[in-house]
Amino acid sequence: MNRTWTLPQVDETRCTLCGLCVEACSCQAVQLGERGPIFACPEACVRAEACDCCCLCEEVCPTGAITCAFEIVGSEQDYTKRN
Amino acid sequence: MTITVQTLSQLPFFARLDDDALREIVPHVHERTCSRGQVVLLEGDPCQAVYFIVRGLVRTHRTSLEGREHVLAYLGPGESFGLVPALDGGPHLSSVDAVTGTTLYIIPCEHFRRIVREHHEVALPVLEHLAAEVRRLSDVVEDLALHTVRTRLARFLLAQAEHPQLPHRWTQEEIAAHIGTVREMVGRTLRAFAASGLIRRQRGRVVVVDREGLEREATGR
Repeated sequence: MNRTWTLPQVDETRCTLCGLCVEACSCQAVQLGERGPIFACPEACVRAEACDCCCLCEEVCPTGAITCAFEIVGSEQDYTKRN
Repeated sequence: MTITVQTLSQLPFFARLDDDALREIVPHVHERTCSRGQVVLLEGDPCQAVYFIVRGLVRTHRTSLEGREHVLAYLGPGESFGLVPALDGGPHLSSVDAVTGTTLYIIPCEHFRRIVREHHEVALPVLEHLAAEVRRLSDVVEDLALHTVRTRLARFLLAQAEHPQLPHRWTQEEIAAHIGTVREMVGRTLRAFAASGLIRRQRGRVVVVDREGLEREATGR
Protein backbone atom coordinates (compact mmCIF):
# COMPACT_ATOMS: atom_id res chain seq x y z
CA MET A 1 0.00 0.00 0.00
CA ASN A 2 1.34 3.44 -0.92
CA ARG A 3 0.98 5.74 2.06
CA THR A 4 2.80 8.87 3.16
CA TRP A 5 1.90 8.53 6.84
CA THR A 6 3.27 6.06 9.36
CA LEU A 7 1.63 4.02 12.07
CA PRO A 8 2.10 5.15 15.68
CA GLN A 9 5.62 4.40 16.89
CA VAL A 10 6.19 2.51 20.14
CA ASP A 11 9.13 2.86 22.49
CA GLU A 12 9.01 -0.54 24.17
CA THR A 13 11.44 0.55 26.85
CA ARG A 14 8.84 3.01 28.13
CA CYS A 15 5.80 0.73 27.77
CA THR A 16 4.39 -0.70 31.02
CA LEU A 17 1.80 -2.90 29.23
CA CYS A 18 -1.03 -1.06 30.98
CA GLY A 19 -3.33 -1.55 27.98
CA LEU A 20 -4.86 1.95 28.05
CA CYS A 21 -4.05 2.39 24.35
CA VAL A 22 -6.05 -0.75 23.49
CA GLU A 23 -9.04 0.58 25.44
CA ALA A 24 -8.79 4.03 23.90
CA CYS A 25 -8.60 3.01 20.24
CA SER A 26 -12.03 3.51 18.72
CA CYS A 27 -11.22 1.43 15.63
CA GLN A 28 -9.68 -1.54 17.41
CA ALA A 29 -6.39 -1.13 15.63
CA VAL A 30 -4.24 -1.89 18.70
CA GLN A 31 -3.44 -5.19 20.30
CA LEU A 32 -1.24 -5.70 23.30
CA GLY A 33 1.80 -7.79 22.49
CA GLU A 34 4.34 -9.23 24.90
CA ARG A 35 6.55 -6.16 24.83
CA GLY A 36 4.12 -3.42 23.94
CA PRO A 37 1.19 -2.44 21.73
CA ILE A 38 1.06 -3.69 18.16
CA PHE A 39 -0.65 -1.46 15.61
CA ALA A 40 -2.28 -2.88 12.53
CA CYS A 41 -4.14 0.07 11.11
CA PRO A 42 -5.78 0.27 8.67
CA GLU A 43 -5.52 -3.31 7.37
CA ALA A 44 -6.96 -4.89 10.53
CA CYS A 45 -9.15 -1.94 11.42
CA VAL A 46 -12.86 -2.64 11.02
CA ARG A 47 -13.51 1.06 10.46
CA ALA A 48 -10.60 1.79 8.15
CA GLU A 49 -12.54 4.26 6.08
CA ALA A 50 -13.77 6.15 9.12
CA CYS A 51 -10.47 6.20 10.98
CA ASP A 52 -9.31 9.78 11.50
CA CYS A 53 -6.05 8.87 13.19
CA CYS A 54 -7.29 10.36 16.44
CA CYS A 55 -4.01 9.73 18.30
CA LEU A 56 -5.92 8.97 21.50
CA CYS A 57 -3.51 6.10 22.09
CA GLU A 58 -0.69 8.64 22.33
CA GLU A 59 -2.74 10.89 24.56
CA VAL A 60 -3.73 8.24 27.08
CA CYS A 61 -0.31 6.60 27.29
CA PRO A 62 0.92 7.49 30.79
CA THR A 63 4.60 7.01 29.98
CA GLY A 64 4.84 8.63 26.54
CA ALA A 65 5.69 5.31 24.91
CA ILE A 66 3.50 5.98 21.85
CA THR A 67 4.12 8.74 19.34
CA CYS A 68 2.04 9.64 16.32
CA ALA A 69 4.19 11.94 14.21
CA PHE A 70 2.37 14.34 11.91
CA GLU A 71 2.99 17.17 9.51
CA ILE A 72 1.35 20.54 10.02
CA VAL A 73 -0.07 21.96 6.80
CA GLY A 74 -2.07 25.05 5.90
CA SER A 75 -4.29 23.20 3.44
CA GLU A 76 -4.66 19.96 1.55
CA GLN A 77 -2.93 21.65 -1.41
CA ASP A 78 0.13 22.43 0.76
CA TYR A 79 0.30 18.79 1.78
CA THR A 80 0.15 17.59 -1.82
CA LYS A 81 2.89 20.05 -2.82
CA ARG A 82 5.20 18.94 0.03
CA ASN A 83 4.77 15.25 -0.72
CA MET B 1 36.58 19.14 4.30
CA THR B 2 39.63 21.42 4.44
CA ILE B 3 39.28 24.68 6.28
CA THR B 4 40.24 27.51 3.96
CA VAL B 5 39.97 31.27 3.73
CA GLN B 6 37.06 30.75 1.38
CA THR B 7 35.07 28.36 3.59
CA LEU B 8 35.68 30.58 6.64
CA SER B 9 34.53 33.70 4.79
CA GLN B 10 31.15 32.03 4.19
CA LEU B 11 30.37 32.27 7.90
CA PRO B 12 28.48 35.55 8.52
CA PHE B 13 30.74 36.68 11.41
CA PHE B 14 33.81 36.51 9.17
CA ALA B 15 32.29 37.65 5.89
CA ARG B 16 33.63 41.23 6.24
CA LEU B 17 37.23 40.21 7.00
CA ASP B 18 39.88 40.49 4.29
CA ASP B 19 41.89 37.48 3.15
CA ASP B 20 44.94 38.39 5.27
CA ALA B 21 42.90 38.44 8.46
CA LEU B 22 41.15 35.21 7.51
CA ARG B 23 44.50 33.53 6.80
CA GLU B 24 45.58 34.38 10.36
CA ILE B 25 42.45 32.78 11.79
CA VAL B 26 42.36 29.57 9.72
CA PRO B 27 45.07 27.70 11.74
CA HIS B 28 43.03 28.20 14.94
CA VAL B 29 39.84 26.66 13.53
CA HIS B 30 39.12 22.97 14.09
CA GLU B 31 36.53 20.90 12.32
CA ARG B 32 34.21 18.40 13.99
CA THR B 33 31.59 16.18 12.42
CA CYS B 34 28.63 14.86 14.39
CA SER B 35 26.21 12.12 13.42
CA ARG B 36 22.44 12.43 13.71
CA GLY B 37 21.31 12.45 17.35
CA GLN B 38 24.80 12.96 18.74
CA VAL B 39 25.16 15.23 21.77
CA VAL B 40 27.48 18.11 20.90
CA LEU B 41 27.64 19.66 24.35
CA LEU B 42 25.70 19.78 27.60
CA GLU B 43 24.11 22.67 29.45
CA GLY B 44 26.34 23.65 32.38
CA ASP B 45 29.55 22.32 30.81
CA PRO B 46 32.51 24.69 30.91
CA CYS B 47 32.81 26.51 27.61
CA GLN B 48 35.95 25.75 25.63
CA ALA B 49 35.01 27.15 22.24
CA VAL B 50 32.56 28.85 19.91
CA TYR B 51 30.85 26.57 17.38
CA PHE B 52 29.87 27.49 13.82
CA ILE B 53 27.59 25.27 11.76
CA VAL B 54 28.95 24.62 8.29
CA ARG B 55 26.54 21.84 7.33
CA GLY B 56 23.50 20.25 8.96
CA LEU B 57 21.10 21.18 11.73
CA VAL B 58 21.40 21.27 15.53
CA ARG B 59 18.86 21.73 18.30
CA THR B 60 19.56 23.78 21.44
CA HIS B 61 17.51 22.96 24.52
CA ARG B 62 17.32 23.19 28.29
CA THR B 63 16.10 20.43 30.55
CA SER B 64 14.51 20.68 34.00
CA LEU B 65 15.50 18.46 36.93
CA GLU B 66 12.34 16.42 36.26
CA GLY B 67 13.52 15.80 32.70
CA ARG B 68 11.16 18.25 30.98
CA GLU B 69 12.78 19.65 27.90
CA HIS B 70 12.36 23.08 26.36
CA VAL B 71 13.67 23.60 22.85
CA LEU B 72 15.24 27.03 22.42
CA ALA B 73 16.17 26.93 18.74
CA TYR B 74 17.06 24.96 15.66
CA LEU B 75 20.26 26.27 14.09
CA GLY B 76 21.49 25.66 10.56
CA PRO B 77 24.45 26.51 8.32
CA GLY B 78 26.08 29.86 9.08
CA GLU B 79 24.65 30.03 12.59
CA SER B 80 26.64 29.63 15.80
CA PHE B 81 26.33 28.57 19.42
CA GLY B 82 28.44 28.93 22.55
CA LEU B 83 28.93 32.62 21.89
CA VAL B 84 27.63 33.95 25.21
CA PRO B 85 29.72 31.67 27.46
CA ALA B 86 32.74 32.26 25.23
CA LEU B 87 32.38 35.99 25.89
CA ASP B 88 31.35 36.00 29.55
CA GLY B 89 33.38 33.00 30.71
CA GLY B 90 30.38 31.18 32.19
CA PRO B 91 29.18 27.64 31.47
CA HIS B 92 27.13 26.66 28.41
CA LEU B 93 23.57 27.99 28.60
CA SER B 94 21.94 25.06 26.83
CA SER B 95 22.54 21.55 25.58
CA VAL B 96 23.06 21.05 21.88
CA ASP B 97 22.51 17.93 19.81
CA ALA B 98 22.73 17.19 16.11
CA VAL B 99 19.38 16.75 14.36
CA THR B 100 21.11 15.68 11.15
CA GLY B 101 24.67 14.85 10.22
CA THR B 102 26.49 18.09 11.05
CA THR B 103 29.85 19.69 10.36
CA LEU B 104 31.10 22.32 12.79
CA TYR B 105 33.97 24.77 12.79
CA ILE B 106 35.28 25.30 16.29
CA ILE B 107 37.30 28.25 17.55
CA PRO B 108 38.71 28.15 21.10
CA CYS B 109 37.25 30.85 23.39
CA GLU B 110 40.53 32.67 23.97
CA HIS B 111 41.23 32.93 20.31
CA PHE B 112 37.70 34.00 19.48
CA ARG B 113 37.90 36.79 22.08
CA ARG B 114 41.16 37.92 20.52
CA ILE B 115 39.56 38.01 17.07
CA VAL B 116 36.69 40.14 18.42
CA ARG B 117 39.14 42.49 20.14
CA GLU B 118 41.32 42.93 17.09
CA HIS B 119 38.75 43.02 14.28
CA HIS B 120 35.82 45.40 14.48
CA GLU B 121 34.55 43.72 11.27
CA VAL B 122 33.80 40.71 13.48
CA ALA B 123 32.79 42.61 16.62
CA LEU B 124 29.90 44.38 14.91
CA PRO B 125 28.18 41.24 13.55
CA VAL B 126 28.68 39.60 16.95
CA LEU B 127 26.93 42.55 18.65
CA GLU B 128 24.15 42.48 16.04
CA HIS B 129 23.71 38.76 16.62
CA LEU B 130 23.52 39.21 20.40
CA ALA B 131 21.01 42.06 19.99
CA ALA B 132 18.83 39.84 17.78
CA GLU B 133 19.03 37.08 20.40
CA VAL B 134 17.90 39.45 23.17
CA ARG B 135 14.93 40.39 21.01
CA ARG B 136 14.07 36.78 20.21
CA LEU B 137 14.39 35.62 23.81
CA SER B 138 12.27 38.57 25.01
CA ASP B 139 9.52 37.29 22.69
CA VAL B 140 9.96 33.78 24.11
CA VAL B 141 9.65 35.12 27.67
CA GLU B 142 6.52 37.04 26.74
CA ASP B 143 5.07 33.96 25.12
CA LEU B 144 5.73 31.74 28.12
CA ALA B 145 4.76 34.27 30.80
CA LEU B 146 1.78 35.99 29.27
CA HIS B 147 0.09 33.53 26.93
CA THR B 148 -1.86 30.36 27.55
CA VAL B 149 -0.95 26.97 26.09
CA ARG B 150 -3.92 27.39 23.74
CA THR B 151 -2.50 30.63 22.38
CA ARG B 152 1.04 29.25 22.13
CA LEU B 153 -0.11 26.13 20.33
CA ALA B 154 -2.20 28.18 17.88
CA ARG B 155 0.86 30.33 17.13
CA PHE B 156 3.02 27.26 16.68
CA LEU B 157 0.56 25.61 14.28
CA LEU B 158 0.22 28.77 12.21
CA ALA B 159 3.97 29.28 12.07
CA GLN B 160 4.63 25.69 11.02
CA ALA B 161 1.86 25.73 8.43
CA GLU B 162 3.31 28.95 7.01
CA HIS B 163 7.05 28.26 7.25
CA PRO B 164 7.66 24.59 7.93
CA GLN B 165 10.82 23.96 9.91
CA LEU B 166 12.77 20.76 10.28
CA PRO B 167 11.78 18.21 11.47
CA HIS B 168 8.68 18.18 9.26
CA ARG B 169 6.94 15.47 11.25
CA TRP B 170 6.12 16.46 14.81
CA THR B 171 5.16 14.45 17.85
CA GLN B 172 3.11 15.88 20.70
CA GLU B 173 6.17 15.59 22.94
CA GLU B 174 8.32 17.63 20.56
CA ILE B 175 5.67 20.32 20.28
CA ALA B 176 5.38 20.42 24.07
CA ALA B 177 9.15 20.95 24.30
CA HIS B 178 8.80 23.86 21.87
CA ILE B 179 5.96 25.73 23.48
CA GLY B 180 6.84 25.10 27.11
CA THR B 181 4.19 22.66 28.23
CA VAL B 182 3.64 18.92 28.61
CA ARG B 183 2.58 16.30 26.07
CA GLU B 184 -0.85 15.77 27.63
CA MET B 185 -1.72 19.46 27.28
CA VAL B 186 -0.73 19.45 23.62
CA GLY B 187 -2.94 16.41 23.02
CA ARG B 188 -5.92 17.92 24.83
CA THR B 189 -5.57 21.27 23.12
CA LEU B 190 -5.23 19.73 19.66
CA ARG B 191 -8.41 17.79 20.35
CA ALA B 192 -10.16 21.00 21.48
CA PHE B 193 -9.02 22.79 18.29
CA ALA B 194 -10.30 19.89 16.20
CA ALA B 195 -13.64 19.91 18.04
CA SER B 196 -13.96 23.66 17.36
CA GLY B 197 -13.31 23.10 13.66
CA LEU B 198 -10.03 25.03 13.64
CA ILE B 199 -7.93 22.08 12.52
CA ARG B 200 -8.58 18.66 11.07
CA ARG B 201 -6.55 15.67 12.20
CA GLN B 202 -5.88 13.14 9.51
CA ARG B 203 -3.47 10.32 9.10
CA GLY B 204 -0.01 11.77 9.42
CA ARG B 205 -1.11 15.38 9.29
CA VAL B 206 -2.85 18.24 11.00
CA VAL B 207 -4.55 20.54 8.52
CA VAL B 208 -5.39 24.13 9.42
CA VAL B 209 -8.96 24.47 8.17
CA ASP B 210 -10.01 27.73 9.83
CA ARG B 211 -7.00 30.02 9.60
CA GLU B 212 -8.87 33.11 10.82
CA GLY B 213 -10.21 31.23 13.81
CA LEU B 214 -6.75 29.95 14.66
CA GLU B 215 -5.35 33.46 14.27
CA ARG B 216 -7.92 34.68 16.80
CA GLU B 217 -6.70 31.98 19.17
CA ALA B 218 -3.12 33.04 18.46
CA THR B 219 -3.83 36.59 19.55
CA GLY B 220 -5.59 35.39 22.68
CA ARG B 221 -8.94 36.85 21.65
